[in-house]
Amino acid sequence: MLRYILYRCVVMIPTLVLASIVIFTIIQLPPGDYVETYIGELLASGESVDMARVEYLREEYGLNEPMWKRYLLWIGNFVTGDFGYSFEYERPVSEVVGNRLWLTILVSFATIVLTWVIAFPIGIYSATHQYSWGDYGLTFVGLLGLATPNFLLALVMMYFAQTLFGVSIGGLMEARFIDQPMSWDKFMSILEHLIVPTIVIGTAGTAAMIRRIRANLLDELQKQYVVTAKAKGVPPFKRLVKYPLRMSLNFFVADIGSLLPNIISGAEIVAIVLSLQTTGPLLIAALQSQDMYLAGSFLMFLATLTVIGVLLSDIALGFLDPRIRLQGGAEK
Amino acid sequence: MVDTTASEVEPPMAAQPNARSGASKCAYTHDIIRVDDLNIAIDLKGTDLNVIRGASFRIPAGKTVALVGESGSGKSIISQAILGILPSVARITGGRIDYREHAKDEAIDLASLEDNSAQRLALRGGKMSIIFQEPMTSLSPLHTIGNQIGEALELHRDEIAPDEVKKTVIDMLDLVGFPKPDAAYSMYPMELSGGLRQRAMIAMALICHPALLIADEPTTALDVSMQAKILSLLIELQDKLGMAVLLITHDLGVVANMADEVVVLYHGQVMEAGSREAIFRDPHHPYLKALLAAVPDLDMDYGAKLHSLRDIDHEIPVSMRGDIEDRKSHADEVILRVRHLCKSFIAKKQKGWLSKEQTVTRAVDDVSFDVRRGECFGLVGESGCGKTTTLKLLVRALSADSGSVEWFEEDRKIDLLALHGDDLKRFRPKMQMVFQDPFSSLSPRQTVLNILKEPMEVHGLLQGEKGGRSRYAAELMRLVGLQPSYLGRYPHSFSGGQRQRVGIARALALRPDLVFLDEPVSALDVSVQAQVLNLLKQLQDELGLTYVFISHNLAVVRYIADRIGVMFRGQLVELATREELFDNPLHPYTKALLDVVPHASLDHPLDFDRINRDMASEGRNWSPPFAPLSDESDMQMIRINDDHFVRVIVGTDPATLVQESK
Repeated sequence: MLRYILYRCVVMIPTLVLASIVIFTIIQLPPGDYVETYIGELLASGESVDMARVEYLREEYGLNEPMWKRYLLWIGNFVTGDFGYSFEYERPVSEVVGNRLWLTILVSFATIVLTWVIAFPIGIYSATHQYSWGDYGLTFVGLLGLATPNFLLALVMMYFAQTLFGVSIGGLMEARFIDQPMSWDKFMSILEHLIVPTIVIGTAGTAAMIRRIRANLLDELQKQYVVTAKAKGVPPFKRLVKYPLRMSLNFFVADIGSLLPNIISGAEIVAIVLSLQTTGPLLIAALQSQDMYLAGSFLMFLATLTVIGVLLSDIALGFLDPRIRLQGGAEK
Repeated sequence: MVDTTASEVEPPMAAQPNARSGASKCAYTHDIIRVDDLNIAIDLKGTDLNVIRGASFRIPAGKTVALVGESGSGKSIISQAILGILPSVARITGGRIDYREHAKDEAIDLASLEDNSAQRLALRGGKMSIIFQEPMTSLSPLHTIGNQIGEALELHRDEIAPDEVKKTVIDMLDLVGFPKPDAAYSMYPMELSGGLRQRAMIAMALICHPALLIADEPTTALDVSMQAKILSLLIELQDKLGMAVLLITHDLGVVANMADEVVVLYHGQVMEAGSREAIFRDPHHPYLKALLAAVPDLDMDYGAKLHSLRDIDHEIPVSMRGDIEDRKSHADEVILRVRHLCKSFIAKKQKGWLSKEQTVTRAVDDVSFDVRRGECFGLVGESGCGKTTTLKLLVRALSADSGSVEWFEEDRKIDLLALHGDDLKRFRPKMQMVFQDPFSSLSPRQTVLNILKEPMEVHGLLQGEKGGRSRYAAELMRLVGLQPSYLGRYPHSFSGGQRQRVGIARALALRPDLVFLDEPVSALDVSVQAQVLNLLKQLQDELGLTYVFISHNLAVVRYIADRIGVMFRGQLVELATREELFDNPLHPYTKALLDVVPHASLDHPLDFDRINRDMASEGRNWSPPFAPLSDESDMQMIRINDDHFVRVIVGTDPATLVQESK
């Protein structure tokens, strides 16, 4: 097992190198660079352009260098912890992202917990009561949740919150707390504002999770070893939890790997609609304005987290399932 | 009260001479189960299908009752009703199942208990338990053997210390014949062979010393030698623990060796019930008589024909008639010559930090034989002996390490192992295969028409002829006795026997000369087995086909094969014509195999003591010249006469072997 983990860690390196090349190439693909976009914006708003400053910027950030040199510069700094400089915010990337990171993690975490808390009992109920009215009803609601686009739901909920309760639910806290140090009032305000985004972001995930739990558990419930447990006289609840449910968790654990990057990326579109101060809108803005170091470093974070997440879930699977643990290294 | 822990059980009784000869140890006291006019219905989308109709029978305490019938006769449903584990679509619509642990106890009507009521949960697993057919799937892959067996004990024994659970479980594992019970305690099912898994299942069922053990086809998924061992274990445990056994099986050979009383079930009704003697010596009901006549037996005349319950009418298509004369004129010429065929598998296992442990398994080890045109060549051996690997090498599904395979036709000789690319593809129609499992060898997403058309499409048969392929598919259906109107159906709407016939039709679609049959009847019921065997025999005769037939069941091979090779651990140990092999077996392994085939009659009971003592089927206790004297001894097939070869030490005089066996 230890050997396997080490091996996987070593394999991560070439994977990340490949990912970084792909990310960098894609960011560079659209014509022009940040400076050009910047000039365009200035001209559009009728301001004059200082060509000396433009040249200075180009020189400073190495935009005149060939692509491979820029890539090496970027990735070299990335490895040493210097994630580059955001043109748009005129601050280091680590600062720009860092400010929003904690809020993002809070929103994502709340969403994930909500998803699990709702999806697990419903999924288990649906599977154990297959083709009952309860199953049909919950399936219908689940499919609705799956089919409704998140941003639409966000708009609808914003509208009703405003008209029915007179509450503005945009943002993650009341405007007066923004950029203020943490206080009890600020914390309560954040909690209050957390409810709607959590529900909105969580619906589709919850619905999908219910369907997957149901399908996986249904497969397992028909297996012979469940009958064996029943024949042993194991009481119904323990029988369900110890055998088929534990078995159907494999997919769930495998899923945890993809959660890590999701926590950081933070449901971009919904965040824009609800004007949440999370990292999602930041990434989209950076991609639009070709703020290359911000976008590149951000995507590179996501790639790294994905690789780590997959590794973590593989290790967890190994501990959970002896078949993976014991046969993992065997070859034929 | 029965003893409660395995450790307290008296030591094995070594000298129990043939335990099944009549009355068993404890005399008749009372009936532990009385099934009275039981009716069970299955809910099929609103309409009830009555699967059990007025069944009544009894299970005397400490005795073995066999419930016999074909698949679909309802025998498993009855056992599920007794245990309270009926599937949710089935329910008891009438009748009683009275349970009485001791003669003086008040009877409990099991039919009226809720499946999950406390009383039910206490009985199930505690007083009655079950072992299933499929040892591969009936244990949870995520929990250790010890955990799963111990669970039953913890559930049914109040306040038992964890230490004691572990000790009891290990004692039980020892009792059911685990070589290293301590190590097995913390092993996972996937680390065990099929036979050991079934032993673990038995340990789990018996850990609480139930009054009733239901054995639902306990040996059907195992090969004959393993079957004999498991049956002997069941008898031994019954003598020690004194439980009653309800044995569910379609194998009358097993019944003849195990049961005190027999209940014959057909379409949910009891046809005939009585003592073992009455059932086998004096069967009355025509169904039972027909069932007995359908079992292939080692005592049959070589020319005798099995009587299947439902014969198949089939018809040879006109288009195939042309080949037949041609093939028959070349009968008895060698068609396939296999020489020194070898194949090894290497399993690598991580050991320590850097080194890998390599284990080389010689799956096929220096195998040589000829197949003659028009004959059926049988290969027998237990599971894992390399017979299927040999077949895969011959059809080029695997590549051989060394050796040669030559194909003869007309004046040509083709080196099969040297064929590649288009040459190989052009050759493939000459050899086709029928697989063991009729359920997984047909795609569930294709109609039978598509399944039958596929080989024609791959090999461009009847290309360009409009509707020609569908017409030919219909002819193929008639060839195996199925109605062409079934062509639009999917495999799931056929029974096992019908599916296997579709598999045969698919193999015959390309008009092969040689058909490889890999255990084609081992997944089928006795009655269907006879039907398919007879069909295969007729087709061989009518189409002039050559067969290579693989089986672990000697009685089946004896029925269909002309010459037989016996395989053991990748090697051919004896090769002879059918009559020679069965009348005059020389090799100890062949003899051991013959010993473990259960006969469906009372005249040849299995000698369990000898099977357990000799261990010849495991390759032990062979005497020279069959076993090498030292590691350097060379072994070789030597010729006894034209029809008989056996593997012995190089230089052994054939005459001495014949002398000894006489």
